[in-house]
Amino acid sequence: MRRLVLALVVIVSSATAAAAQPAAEPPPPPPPTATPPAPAAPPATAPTPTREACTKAINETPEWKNDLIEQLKPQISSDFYAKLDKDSHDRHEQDSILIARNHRHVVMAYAALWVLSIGFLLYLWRRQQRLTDQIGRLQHELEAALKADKDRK
Amino acid sequence: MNRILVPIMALLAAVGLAVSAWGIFVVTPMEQTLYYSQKIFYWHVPNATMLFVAVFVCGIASLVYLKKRDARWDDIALASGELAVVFGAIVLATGSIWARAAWGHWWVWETRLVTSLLLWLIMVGVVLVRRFAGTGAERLAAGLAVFGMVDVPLIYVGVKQGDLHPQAKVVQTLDTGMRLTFWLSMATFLFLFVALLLTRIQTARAERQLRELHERGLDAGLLES
Repeated sequence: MRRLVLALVVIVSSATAAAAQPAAEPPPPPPPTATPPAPAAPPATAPTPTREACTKAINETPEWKNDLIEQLKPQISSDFYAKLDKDSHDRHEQDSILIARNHRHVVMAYAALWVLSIGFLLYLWRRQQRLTDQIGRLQHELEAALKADKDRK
Repeated sequence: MNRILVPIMALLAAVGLAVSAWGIFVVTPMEQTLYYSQKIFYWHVPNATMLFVAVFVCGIASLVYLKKRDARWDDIALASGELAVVFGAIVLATGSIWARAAWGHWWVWETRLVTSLLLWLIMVGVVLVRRFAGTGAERLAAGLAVFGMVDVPLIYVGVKQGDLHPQAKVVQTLDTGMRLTFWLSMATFLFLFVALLLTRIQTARAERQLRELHERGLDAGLLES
């Protein structure tokens, strides 16, 4: 019994001593960089009483909050920018493929050229046809007029 | 003369179109700035050149017509005016599509593009006036064509260093294969231009002679209106 009580006292006292220890010195904040701050990420887990207590404690102690932000910033930034870099790299890759194999605009341009040229050729051909018709009609009218003139004489 | 020249020019143009298309899509290397869309260049620039040639022919023929009042010059002005409209439409269409591919915009309001559009609109005006303005349309259209001809140097002079549109000296920087294909395309479109111009002049001349014959027939009482 005495041993059990002694063990309990040792555990409680060491736990209290551990709790009473001051927090470890936070690492110095990284030097300020030119990169813009990362946007706030949504909470990763559902709110719990512990989380709420922590959030409340953090918000009540601005120095601690700033320390935490400074500690987490490099990690958040590097993840965020790594993802951004990958996204923009992929986008650039897709764009370069599109530019290198830009068949659509080339086909459009050559199609426009052919359509306009063929349109003009058709216009010329129709004009020629109309001209041929007019010559035929005029010839017919003249022959008829000459015949009528001859008949009159 | 035209009976021989037109088929020869048309044949040369047809062969040239086939060979230059082969050169553009098979022989020439991929340009390293614009990549595939640069293939539009080989027929876009010759069409632009033919637009300028057509405008000059139209302007000079109009000037001579205004001075001599000889209808044969009016036929040349009419034919080249119509060709200027066709080549101008091709230049604007292919240029706009190329601009979309290279710059991301269908149209940019910069000097060369605006003056080219203006030139095309003037030539459309020449053709419309010539067709619908009634008595004295020939002289009115001739005046407008001379005004259009003045716009051609502005297209060159007006281009600034910072403009998006490449300058004419870009041709000198081309790779040998590209340059050969380009000049072949240029010759091809020149043959095509000559063939179309001669054909259209013949048609315009025949239409005018027919109109005159009809009027004479009416005057002589042989024809009824």
